[in-house]
Amino acid sequence: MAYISFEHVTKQYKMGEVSIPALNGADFSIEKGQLAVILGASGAGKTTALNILGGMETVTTGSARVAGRDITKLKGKQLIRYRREDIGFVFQFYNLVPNLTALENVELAAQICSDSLSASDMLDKVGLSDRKNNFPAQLSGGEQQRVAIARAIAKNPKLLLCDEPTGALDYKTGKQILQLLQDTCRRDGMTVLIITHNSAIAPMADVVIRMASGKVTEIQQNHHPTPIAEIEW
Amino acid sequence: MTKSLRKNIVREIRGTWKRFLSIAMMAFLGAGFFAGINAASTDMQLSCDTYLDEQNCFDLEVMSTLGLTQDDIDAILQVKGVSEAVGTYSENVMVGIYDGEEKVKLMSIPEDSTINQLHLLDGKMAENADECVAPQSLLEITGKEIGDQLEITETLEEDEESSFRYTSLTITGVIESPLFVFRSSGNNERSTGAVADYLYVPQSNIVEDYFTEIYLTVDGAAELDCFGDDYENLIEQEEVLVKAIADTREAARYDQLTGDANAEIDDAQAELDDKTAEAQQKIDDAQKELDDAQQEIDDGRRELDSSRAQAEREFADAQKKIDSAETQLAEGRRAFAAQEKEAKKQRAELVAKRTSVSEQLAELRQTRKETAETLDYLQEQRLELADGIAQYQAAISTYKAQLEQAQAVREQVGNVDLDELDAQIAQLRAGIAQIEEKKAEFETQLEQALAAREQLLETGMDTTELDAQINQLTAGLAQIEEQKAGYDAQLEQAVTVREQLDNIDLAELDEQIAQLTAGIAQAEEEKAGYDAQLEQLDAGIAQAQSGLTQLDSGIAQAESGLVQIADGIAQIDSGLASGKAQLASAQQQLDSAKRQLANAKNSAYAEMNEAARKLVDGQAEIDDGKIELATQKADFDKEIADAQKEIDEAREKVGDINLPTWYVLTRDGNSGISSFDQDSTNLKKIGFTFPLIFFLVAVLISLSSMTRMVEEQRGLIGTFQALGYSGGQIASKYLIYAATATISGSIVGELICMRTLPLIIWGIYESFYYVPVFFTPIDWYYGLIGLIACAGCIIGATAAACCKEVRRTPAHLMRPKAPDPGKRVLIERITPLWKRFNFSQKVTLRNLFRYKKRFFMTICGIAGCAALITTGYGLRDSIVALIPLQYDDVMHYDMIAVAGTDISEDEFADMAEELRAEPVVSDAIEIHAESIKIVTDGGKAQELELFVPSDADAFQGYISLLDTATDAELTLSGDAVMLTQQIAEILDVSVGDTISLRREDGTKADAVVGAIVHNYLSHYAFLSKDGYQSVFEKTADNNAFVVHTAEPSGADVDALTKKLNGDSRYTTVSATQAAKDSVNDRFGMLDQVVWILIVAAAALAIVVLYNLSNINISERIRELATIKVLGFYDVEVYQYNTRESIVLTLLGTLLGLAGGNWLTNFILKTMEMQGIVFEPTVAWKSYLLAGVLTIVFATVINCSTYFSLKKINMVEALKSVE
Repeated sequence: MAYISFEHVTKQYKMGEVSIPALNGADFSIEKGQLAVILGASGAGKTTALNILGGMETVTTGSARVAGRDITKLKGKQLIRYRREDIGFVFQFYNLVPNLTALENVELAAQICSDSLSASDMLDKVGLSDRKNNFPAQLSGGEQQRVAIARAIAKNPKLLLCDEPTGALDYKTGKQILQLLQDTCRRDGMTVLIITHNSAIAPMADVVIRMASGKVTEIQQNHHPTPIAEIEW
Repeated sequence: MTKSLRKNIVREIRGTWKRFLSIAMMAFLGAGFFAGINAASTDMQLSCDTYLDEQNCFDLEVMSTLGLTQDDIDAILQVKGVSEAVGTYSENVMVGIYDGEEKVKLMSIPEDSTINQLHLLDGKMAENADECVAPQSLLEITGKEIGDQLEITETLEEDEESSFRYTSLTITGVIESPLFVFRSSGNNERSTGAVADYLYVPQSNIVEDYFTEIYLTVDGAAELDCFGDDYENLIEQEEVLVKAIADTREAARYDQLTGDANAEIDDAQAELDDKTAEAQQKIDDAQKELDDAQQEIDDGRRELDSSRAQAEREFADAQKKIDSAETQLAEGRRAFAAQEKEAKKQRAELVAKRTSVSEQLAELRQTRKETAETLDYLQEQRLELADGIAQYQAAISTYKAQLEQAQAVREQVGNVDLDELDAQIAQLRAGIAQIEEKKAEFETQLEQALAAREQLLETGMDTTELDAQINQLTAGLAQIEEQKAGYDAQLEQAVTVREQLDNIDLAELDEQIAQLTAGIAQAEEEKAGYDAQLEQLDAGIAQAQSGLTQLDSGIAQAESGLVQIADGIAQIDSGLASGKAQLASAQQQLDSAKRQLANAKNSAYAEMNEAARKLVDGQAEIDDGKIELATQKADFDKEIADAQKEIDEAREKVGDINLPTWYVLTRDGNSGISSFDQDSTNLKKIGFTFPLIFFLVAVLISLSSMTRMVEEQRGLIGTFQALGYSGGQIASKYLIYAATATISGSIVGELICMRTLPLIIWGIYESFYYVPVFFTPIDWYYGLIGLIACAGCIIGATAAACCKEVRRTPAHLMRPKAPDPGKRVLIERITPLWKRFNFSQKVTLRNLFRYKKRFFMTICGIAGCAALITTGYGLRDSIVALIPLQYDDVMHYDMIAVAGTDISEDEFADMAEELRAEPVVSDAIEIHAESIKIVTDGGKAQELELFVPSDADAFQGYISLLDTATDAELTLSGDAVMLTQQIAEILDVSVGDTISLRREDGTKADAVVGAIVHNYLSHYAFLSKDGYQSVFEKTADNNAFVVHTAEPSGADVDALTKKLNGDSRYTTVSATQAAKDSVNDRFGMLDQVVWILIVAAAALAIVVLYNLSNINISERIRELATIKVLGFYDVEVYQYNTRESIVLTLLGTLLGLAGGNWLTNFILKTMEMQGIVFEPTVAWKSYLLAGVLTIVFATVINCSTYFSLKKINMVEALKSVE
């Protein structure tokens, strides 16, 4: 049984009379310790899938399993606990709390988890040892994203979800961030799921899931992922 | 404006209706409160002015110290500008109420005038002289109804006549007078004896020929608002005109009064002088008569005295004699006593002697008896001895005889032959036989003689011869017998001898003889012993006999001695008896002499006393006469003096009749209207300040809402700009949005508040003032001010916010606004402190300082809310504090009891004694209490109570005079009057100023203000007894008590109050507790104010906090969504967000409590009411309550954010920035 599996998941947003389908029976699965990339154009449903996995959205039908648990069955507080203990989230726009320093932002996440990792170590790990006490506004985009990643992995989650982590970053910085994510996956054995519309990133993943119109169109197992340094776009 | 823009606005409003409503609501509250409270004041004044105009209320009032006349009215009517004028009479009278008497002002209803027309509520106007009309309040306290009889009593001075034709009046109607818009409110006024109520009678019931006041109206005054400046100016001008004729009128009145009076007084003086002379003559005559009688009595007394002396001398002599006799007698007694003592001693000796003699005698007798017995014995013995001797003798004799015989016999025997003896015997026998023959012969012869004799005797013949014969015979017979006996004896002897002889043997006989001879010798020997004994005995007997003789003589001697002794005793006894008898007789003599003297004295003194009594009676008569004369003379003198005094007083009075003074008073002099003016003006001040808080908060909130809105839509603004809309056009959307919200909110708010708030406020004042109809017109003035101010501020703020955004370039606007950068707050630099905070505390602190605008807004809003609630409670606390302030700090007494004016000094002293004897009363002090009016030059007049304590030091225990400047306790002294703080403020006088005091009888005096003292209810003036004397030139007679009771309240105190109120000597008795209760009742309704404030505060708090929390959430939605995604529980998210609110709430609350204190002070200072001084106080409990309420409101709003936070859609929030 796969570590993460999506089974016939549909998701429909109701806007008054109109029902807009976001996911239309998506199926995929990811093994533990894999780095997966979901590729797709805007509106393909990749963000919805990510949100469902992140415990921020509920499914309309189907089931989504993470580490053997059907997260679509979780309610209210269970869902929050799931987010708290099992998930690390990296946003496109970092979403750091502006009036907390880098270290404090990581601590903000670490303090609520039971088996969290040291916030300071995490920052060391992402290469921000000397910027710990800077406020987000004093950090560059890449640095902010690193803080965000440090914040996510400090929770020691089962699954690291990244929503367009390089979307707001320049090429070079983007690569550094991807490298960080890949290192995290390889080194720490963390299961990482990255969604992006940038197909150039795909070769770095163990699994590439392509989506269109709310459906998984292709799942490509990549047995020899390309190192980030070799990827260009 | 383009159609799309218009649509955009409409949709905007529809989409953000909450924000729209909250802005409208703020405008509603801000403008509404402002307009409503201000309108309340205007409405009150308008309603009152309308009422006064309808009743044709006076504009000026003229009073004079000597009354006013029709001439005065005529003169006033001549003054330019005077429209109407009318004279009325007023006087304070007493009416009976449920618990005593009540002083009310009685006023006359003028004929043919509509000035001060009464407002008839029920029944009909009084028309006849014995009718009256009264306000409802009077009917309530007297318990009367229309149709009932009301008795009025005047406090008349001696010789004063009633001013009324009728004092028993029928109540025909219930009225209100425009002169009394201020409603009497019972106990407080009543407790001080000031006038609390009024009633009206027709002018026809008034006897007096003068008016006490003239009311006049001024042309054109009715058209003006009597609380406005125009009216004041007009009346001031008119006042000057009326005052201008005062001098002339004053002089005229003076001349009229003094001229008449002096003539009358002169006549009275002449009459008095005549009567005095006449009466004096009579008195002199009577005196002379009395003097003569006195002379007579004095002579008699002298005579009596001399005769009394004479008698006393005589009696003294007699007494002296008696005394000497007494002395003698006493001496005699003493001598006799000595004698008696001696005699008694002798007698005792004699008695003793007698006893000893008697004893001797007894002894002697005993001895004698013994001696006699001895003698007897001796004699007996002698006899025995003699017998013995005799026996011996006899024996000897016998022996001798025997011996002789024997010898004889022996001899005979030896000698005698027996034949001879036989012959002799035979011879003797023959002789005997012969004699017997002879004897028988004789006896035969005697028998013959005796028979013959008997024959003789039978024959009666003489027997003498015979008898002699018989005798011879008899004798012969006897002789014969004798012979015969002799012969017999011889015979016998012879025979015997023969026989003996026959028997006798001679030897024997010889032996016998020898024996006999020996026996004889022995017997003789023994006999000789016996004889010696006998001799001895005889000597003893002789001796005894001589002893006996001696004893007998001794006894005889002793007996004679005893007799002698008895004689001696008898002699002594008789001597004593005679001495005693002598003394007794002497005593008797003396006693009789004394009795005689006493009798003599008694009769003499009786005579003299009788004489003296007669003299005394005579003297008593004279004395009575003298006393009568003196009494009559005193009476006469008093009468004369009284009459003279009366005349003098009258003269003095006339002399005292100073030139009368006219007082021209405006409506300010009417306490009702002036306090209405004051209260409504104060309300206006509050109306300006109080809504200011709402206003400020409302503007702040709306401002932030609009700013936020503009900022939120910067992208849109940018788009519009990019599309080519001008800045103005773009801004107009927001301006229109703001304007629509504020103007509609303001208008609705004003419309509602202008109707309701004045009514609520009037509801509070209505219990103090009577105004029949209360108008609540729309007050355009304040409505517009409120609207413009409110809308202006908000629209202005919006415009400012728009301007800022609109000026930016579209590109800049369309970029997402960079979130406020994080910043280290100052506190972080204090590392040791910062380290101590935990993570969330750090976040909270940073956030607090990050959103400065919201920081201040929240604090302002919450502070405003807390301040309003604190003010509400503070107002109530201050009102509640009034009672302890007044009755614990200032007025300590438990009861005040005012005596009637007719009570004399003695009666008052009795009352004091009785009062102090009441068990409930612990102590009391006498004071002089009096209602006086203080008039200032500015035409301000104020009636108040003047207290003059009998003892200024003791008075401190009842009323504390605390200096307002220093808070030090003052003692009354000197001539300076002390005023209570509010009256000083009203009259605008300060220490050192001179004020004019007018007593009820019209006399007036000037006094200097010595101090201004604390007092919170009513007005008082205090003056020392000496001060009163020197100010009014009159003694302040005590007429009231202030009393401490054992318990400040309770059934005992109630019972005493009731009892004293039932006592006709008291006019007013009031327990402090009752006054407290009445104050409490009066302010009970002010609780409503507190509720208004609390509700307003709650509304404010809710609107402000809701707004702020919404802004807070929407501003920080991304941040909140992020932490939600991070897995914060709802509660943790809530706490993350709320901690700031809590801190802000606490800060705001603290600030608000302080602000509330300030606001309470401010409001109380501005709204000070007539007769009440508020000391702003906010109890800690009120702070607590206000704080808690504020926090509760804030928490409720905070809690509601929990749900808003829960609803935050993480996905939406985290979508890429717009």
